[in-house]
Amino acid sequence: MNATLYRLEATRLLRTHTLLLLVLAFAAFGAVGPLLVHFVEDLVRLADPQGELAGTDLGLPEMTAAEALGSHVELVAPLGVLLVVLVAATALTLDASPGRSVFYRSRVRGTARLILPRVALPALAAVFAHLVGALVAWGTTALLFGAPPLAAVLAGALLGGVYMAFAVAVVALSSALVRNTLAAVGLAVLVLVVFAGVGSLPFLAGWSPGALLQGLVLPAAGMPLTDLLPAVATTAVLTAGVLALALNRSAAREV
Amino acid sequence: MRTEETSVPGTPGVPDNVITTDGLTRSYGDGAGVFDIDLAVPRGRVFGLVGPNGAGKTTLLSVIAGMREAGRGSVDLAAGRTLLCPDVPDFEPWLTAAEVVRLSAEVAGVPVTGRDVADALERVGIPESADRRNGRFSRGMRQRLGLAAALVCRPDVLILDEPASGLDPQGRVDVLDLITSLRGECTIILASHLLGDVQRVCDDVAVLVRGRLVYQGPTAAIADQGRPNAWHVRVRGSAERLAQALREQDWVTRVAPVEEDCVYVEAVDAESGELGLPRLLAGSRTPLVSMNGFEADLESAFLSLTNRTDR
Repeated sequence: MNATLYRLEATRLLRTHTLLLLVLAFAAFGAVGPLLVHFVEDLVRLADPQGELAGTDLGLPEMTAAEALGSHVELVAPLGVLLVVLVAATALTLDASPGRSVFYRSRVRGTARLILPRVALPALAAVFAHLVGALVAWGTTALLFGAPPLAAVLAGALLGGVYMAFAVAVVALSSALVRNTLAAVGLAVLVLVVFAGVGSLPFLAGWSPGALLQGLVLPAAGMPLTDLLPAVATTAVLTAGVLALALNRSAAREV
Repeated sequence: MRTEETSVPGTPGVPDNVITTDGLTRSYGDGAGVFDIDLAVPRGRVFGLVGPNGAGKTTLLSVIAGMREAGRGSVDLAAGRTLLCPDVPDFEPWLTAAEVVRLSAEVAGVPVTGRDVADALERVGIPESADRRNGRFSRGMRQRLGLAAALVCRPDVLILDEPASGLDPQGRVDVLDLITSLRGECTIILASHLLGDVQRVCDDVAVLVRGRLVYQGPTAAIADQGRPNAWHVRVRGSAERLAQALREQDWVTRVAPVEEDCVYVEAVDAESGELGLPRLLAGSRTPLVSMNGFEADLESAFLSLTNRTDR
């Protein structure tokens, strides 16, 4: 293992303020999600201040902590994951510039040595940001709806982190297939959308990687995290497979 | 392909080549690529690679550097570390110049100290930029930084693809001087379309045309092919009298007085004129003021070789 390349990725995250922005974004999702649920009735009225809704009793059911955390996940699933894909793509599309590609590939022997730090550090950053977001969501939820069990919520968020690692691995593969950063982002998003679509089929829902993002909601809904074990297994296998394919394709790439 | 004898260091009679290719072919279809390249790069020398745009120079360099696979044939690399400096070097823009140089050595597994980093930057002429982020460097400064990043790795073979592109005239001179100073320290392969640069610093040269090697040998030998066989000869005395004497020589093909004291002379070949003119002037006791021919240059020979292949 060449520690230099891991240090380089850590420096990239810190010096370009990528980690800070990622954490702030997830923290914002953590605050906004539960607040949206808490003020949903007021928001509906604000949307139509002079209309029929103004004097109507909407009769919305009472919101719960699980719904507040679920609202946070609804923000993370599209926007948070997109941010993670962007962060990973900036590190992984090293062949987008021929000059930079030659610099690394003529010096670093072994594709795994070159690529794995660029997967590991963005994945760790995504997991960390997701945990921070979950903590903020838990705090806001506790303030507005009552506190769900913190340890279980964070453990559920860690399972969501497995999905983040999967997303980064998908970016590694897309970066090994196309050189342009924007194209790599587009391809990765497409793959993740296809997985989400397939995972929405009722008989596959429990095995879908996307189900892991619900990990932080389950404790508040009184459901055990063990329900997600099939999805953890699927995601771990898919991540390893996608990563192996990414390394294979990247090794075959010519500058 | 034309080849010339190359004097190289090592065992007498056994060329000490650091890179040898045998029938190297990499085709991209439609005639693009390189074909049947038998290249021999002598160790410790500066080797030039010239050719028109699209001749396959970058493909050949990339295969030699291990960046691309050969379709057929082989590359025998009798060297430890081979580094390729591309024509447009690029680095993480948020790294300082010193950090780029240190990173270069560390990822290549070369032990490096702060002194090594400073020396490398000093050698390429950008020591004052050590702590500046390279993202805002000009192309010329990035070229120099690329060279520093390569030098700190102490390569056995350094492949430079258009190293002087993007440099101002002084920068070009500096880089050529740097390349000259590296002779003997490592083997350098220099690809350039600036034939004057190649002629100035390269010991040997290979000419690539449409993917095929049409010449390799000492630069002096190829430049020699561009020697003039016509001169303007200015004398102290009558040009007409000299013209008359020249017309009687069997090696003279054309004579024409151009001024009262100046004659245009064409000979059957360069050597005949170079030997015959001084002999004739000395024999007729005609004082010589000047004798100017077309300057021998690589460009003439290059154009001659490429045109011959194009036909």
